[in-house]
Amino acid sequence: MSPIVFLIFISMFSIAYIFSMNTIQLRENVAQDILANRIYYKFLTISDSVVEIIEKELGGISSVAGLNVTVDEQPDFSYVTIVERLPHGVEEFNEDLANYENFVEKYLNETNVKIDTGIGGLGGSMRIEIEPYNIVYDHPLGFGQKEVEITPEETSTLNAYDMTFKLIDANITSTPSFGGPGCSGGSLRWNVTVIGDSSVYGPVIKYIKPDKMCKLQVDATCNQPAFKVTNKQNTQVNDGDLFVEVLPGCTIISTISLNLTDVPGKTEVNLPDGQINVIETLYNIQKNDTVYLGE
Amino acid sequence: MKGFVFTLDALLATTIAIVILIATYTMIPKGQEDYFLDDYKTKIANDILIVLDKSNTLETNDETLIQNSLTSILPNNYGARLNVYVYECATHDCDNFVLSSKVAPYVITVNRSMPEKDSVLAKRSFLSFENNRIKYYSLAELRVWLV
Repeated sequence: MSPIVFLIFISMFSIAYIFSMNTIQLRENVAQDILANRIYYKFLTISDSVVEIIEKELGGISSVAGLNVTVDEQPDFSYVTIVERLPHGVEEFNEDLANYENFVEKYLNETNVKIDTGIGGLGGSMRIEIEPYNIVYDHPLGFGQKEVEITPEETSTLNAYDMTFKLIDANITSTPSFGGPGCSGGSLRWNVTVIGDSSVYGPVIKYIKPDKMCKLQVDATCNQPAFKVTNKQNTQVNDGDLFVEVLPGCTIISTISLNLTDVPGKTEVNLPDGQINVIETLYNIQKNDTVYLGE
Repeated sequence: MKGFVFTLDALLATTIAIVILIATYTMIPKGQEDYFLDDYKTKIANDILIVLDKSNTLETNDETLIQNSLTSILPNNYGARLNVYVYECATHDCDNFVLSSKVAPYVITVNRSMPEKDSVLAKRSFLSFENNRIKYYSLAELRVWLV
């Protein structure tokens, strides 16, 4: 009889032990899940606030200044449209980003949760990445300056640049001219409209060669040329590299819409990686991510 | 000798039975314990703050409006206490922050009469703008509990 009782005891003890261990493990997993959520929500509040600063302080394109990004995903195509005033003042925007970064560091850090952000320096070049297309929209001279460059990693999904340039307080003085070996016979569509105070040029459609130079030059009352749009040809740059340069004395509102063949994955427009890093030091859980625009 | 063995066997069996009973008694409540409740409450609290922020309700600092919104969003079986601290730059270069002299910290409660047992806390920062510039840097702390 005793061996049977002993076996029952051992069995019960084993079951209890396994149950107990599983319970401890479950508690541990739930605790980590709670911490992971805490980190996610901490990241989200910072990210949402940065997007709000960008939208509220830069969104007023027509009146004040700024940058506005929209994403339109259709079944076969994605359209990413970036509207920007060139040039425009960014001092107050940069100041507010830096102030918010100070606030985050003072009031959102907690025991075991550290926040490391680079949001104060975002306004430096305001480099925008369009994923999963590997296209970069950048400001070579710095955000708010007179230049914009769009660099596609490869052009197989890029169908067209639909571009509208509106001159501020200036008029077109002569018919805008296209020049260069790549301005016709290619596969990349340029759809260009230039709007002056009292006249409109376009829309004009050109099928350019992505690997050859093509330059559009617009003369206006503010300067001759007022601005230039170039498909760069250079061993240092990728095919389809679009460069917009505004010359002194002129201001334009540039609306560039990228027509992209849809590829698997959500179209995302984001600032450079690693702008917001939230780290939980106890379990070493972290979320190192960036800010997403146009959502 | 045989009687002694039987007695010892009976004693051992009784002890094991008692151990099993005690173990069962202590384990049953553990089996019924909801380990995910805190996780669920944390998500509810954070999601409520996101709704209040994204609907631009928080940035109004209108206590009645916020109270009404919070009451309508909060599940009926929950109690909540919302603390809002509104800060502004203390200096021109905004190295430090002070509580705003115009909007004092305020507290909004829903189902206050209930005990705040096993409550969880969620925090969210939000901004108020004026003339396309940040005017206030605010911190909302929402504590929720099951009633």
